[in-house]
Amino acid sequence: METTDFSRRDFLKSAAAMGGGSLLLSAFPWLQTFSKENQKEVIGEKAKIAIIGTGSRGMYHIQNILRVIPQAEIVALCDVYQPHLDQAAALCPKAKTYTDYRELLLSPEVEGVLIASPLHTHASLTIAGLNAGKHVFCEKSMARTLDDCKAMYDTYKQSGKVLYIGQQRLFDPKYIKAFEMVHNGSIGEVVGIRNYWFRNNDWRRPVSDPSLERHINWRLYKEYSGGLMTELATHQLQLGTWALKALPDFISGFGDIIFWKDGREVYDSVNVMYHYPNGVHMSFESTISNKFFGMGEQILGHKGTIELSKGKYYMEEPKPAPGIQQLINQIEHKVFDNVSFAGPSWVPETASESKGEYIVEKTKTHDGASSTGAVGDGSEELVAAFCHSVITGKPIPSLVEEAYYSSVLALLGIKAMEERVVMPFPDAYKIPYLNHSNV
Amino acid sequence: MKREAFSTYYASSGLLHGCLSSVMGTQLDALILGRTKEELQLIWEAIGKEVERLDRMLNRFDPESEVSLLNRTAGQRPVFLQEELWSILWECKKYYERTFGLFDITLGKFSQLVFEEKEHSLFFADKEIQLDLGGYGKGYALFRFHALLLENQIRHALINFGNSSVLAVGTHVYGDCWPVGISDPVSQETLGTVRLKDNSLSVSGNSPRNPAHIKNPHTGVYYEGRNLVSVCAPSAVDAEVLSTALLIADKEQCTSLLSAFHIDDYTIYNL
Repeated sequence: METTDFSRRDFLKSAAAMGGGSLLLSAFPWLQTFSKENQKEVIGEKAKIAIIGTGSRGMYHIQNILRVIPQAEIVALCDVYQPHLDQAAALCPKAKTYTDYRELLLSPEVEGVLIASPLHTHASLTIAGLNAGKHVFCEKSMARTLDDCKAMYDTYKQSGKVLYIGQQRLFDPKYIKAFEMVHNGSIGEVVGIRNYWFRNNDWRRPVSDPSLERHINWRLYKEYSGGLMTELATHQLQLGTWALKALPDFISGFGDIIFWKDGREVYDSVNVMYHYPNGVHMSFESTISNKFFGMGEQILGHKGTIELSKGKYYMEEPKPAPGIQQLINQIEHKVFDNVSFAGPSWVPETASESKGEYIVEKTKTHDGASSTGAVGDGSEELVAAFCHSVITGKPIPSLVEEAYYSSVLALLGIKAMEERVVMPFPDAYKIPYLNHSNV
Repeated sequence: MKREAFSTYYASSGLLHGCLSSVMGTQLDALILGRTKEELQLIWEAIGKEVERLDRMLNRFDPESEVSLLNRTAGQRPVFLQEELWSILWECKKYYERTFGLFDITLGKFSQLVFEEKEHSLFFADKEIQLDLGGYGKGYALFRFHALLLENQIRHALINFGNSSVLAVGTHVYGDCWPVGISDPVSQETLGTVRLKDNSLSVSGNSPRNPAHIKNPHTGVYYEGRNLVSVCAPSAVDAEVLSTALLIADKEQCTSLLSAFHIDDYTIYNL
């Protein structure tokens, strides 16, 4: 597991270097937050942020903000579970503490709200936050139900406020560079997308009292959680949207409880297939009783393969030795010139297609085992971008649409598994984006 | 080791680029012009087959190669060699003599090799001997490719074997030679350019990924400097043998070597 440090400054530099010009921005409009002009706007300002939900994920965000996001100040904290509230208060002694989010939202000091509470509360908290005139960052998935996702989206559109959903891969330089490669044809035509996420644990957190079981282990109960689909798949399903610039037309799959038969209600083994209008398939496979294959996000092109989880790409055919391609190009262009390639014997190392090449240098990868969040997975950049948006008040294009579909695809996957049908993408949940724009 | 061979045909220039990603420890790229696409593909296939055949014969890192078998057995008893391998090793003996022992496939124990000419057998009087054809194999391969290309009436071709061994058949299609630049492996700057035409180039020296790998058989010392030697000669094997020999030769030996071989061009880059 690579853990070379990749500070936010480096990210800004590489985002700019990656041609932060129009081509990149058109593919990833949410990156405009890092443009020089936008950066200038926020120098010296601090966004006043409240954290609602200070459990494991909330604490992760608090630590990031305190450590690397100077343009944010945590002014309020809220959680219904006192031990979690206390641990957050210990890190942010100046922040006001609340056990009722409605009171927090009345505070004029709060400009932006970061929601890291359980999934089934996302919709009500986000809608309340937007309606209270706050900018909102809501952790993934967007919401527990399809109707909730739609309601959040509609409220966001009406509110004129900024909404971010915690899809950190949107800011991961690896993903940005990978999709640049996909769209400039480096790996040829996309012919398949494979996502998988394997773990071997029961996903339980320690519970001090049985009465807290459903509260602490909310991920295991249908009322609160979509299980593997909403907790894991939503991160990966957006690959299809990015790679194919399209949304699926059919969804089908199977879900079962095969191993952890401990009273949970969500599947511990799922397999969902997303079909796209051009015939390409995207899969999502997850079982939590075997971790050998870890996490995978693979884009298959007819000329090459990108394996995002490893941060590498592999060409189907080997590259010519350096200089030879140049010579070929010269001959093609009827140019006669010397090409420098001779020297002491060249030992191909990473050029060997079996070892692959790194998508970006100094890349951070993780094996998906952590259930709170890995270092360097884009979370810092995402929250930093949110804080920036809180200061400027400007929403980021496409961000919400991307997150919406990521969550909706996961929820439709659950629906398809429960009904055991081949399900066409329901019109009711289409919003104006990509191939759904004419709806 | 997984080998991938492929070729791309560029219709507008009638050029075939063949590439074999891993053979004899490095990559082989071939640019061939002047016949139909199908004909060029067949020629490239023949080149690919030939180099793999040679690799299976000479590669001491492949336990199944003929040289590996020789290395395992000739210390115990004389090994009878097939025609081609005998000729190759006999030629290495000639080169050993002509380079005053600077080119030595035993790296210092050549006198302990017992060649039996009538029976074409070889015995290692010193059991510790391990033959290393690293400084010869690519040159021999280029020699074989040259023959193949000429047989097939190819007038313009450039074969790059791992950057250090280059064969030029004829000239660049738009000029009077194949101009090839030699790069400093550390700084990447171009140190010099050779103008190849119906001859071969060999470059020897150390590089960051392959430091101190050339041993002086007389002293047993590995050359650790940063000098590079480039040699252009009509014979690819000569070029190959000489580029290494000149790197470790002293002044006197250099002078003798240069007069003993037909060389088109050579340069010693003092870095």
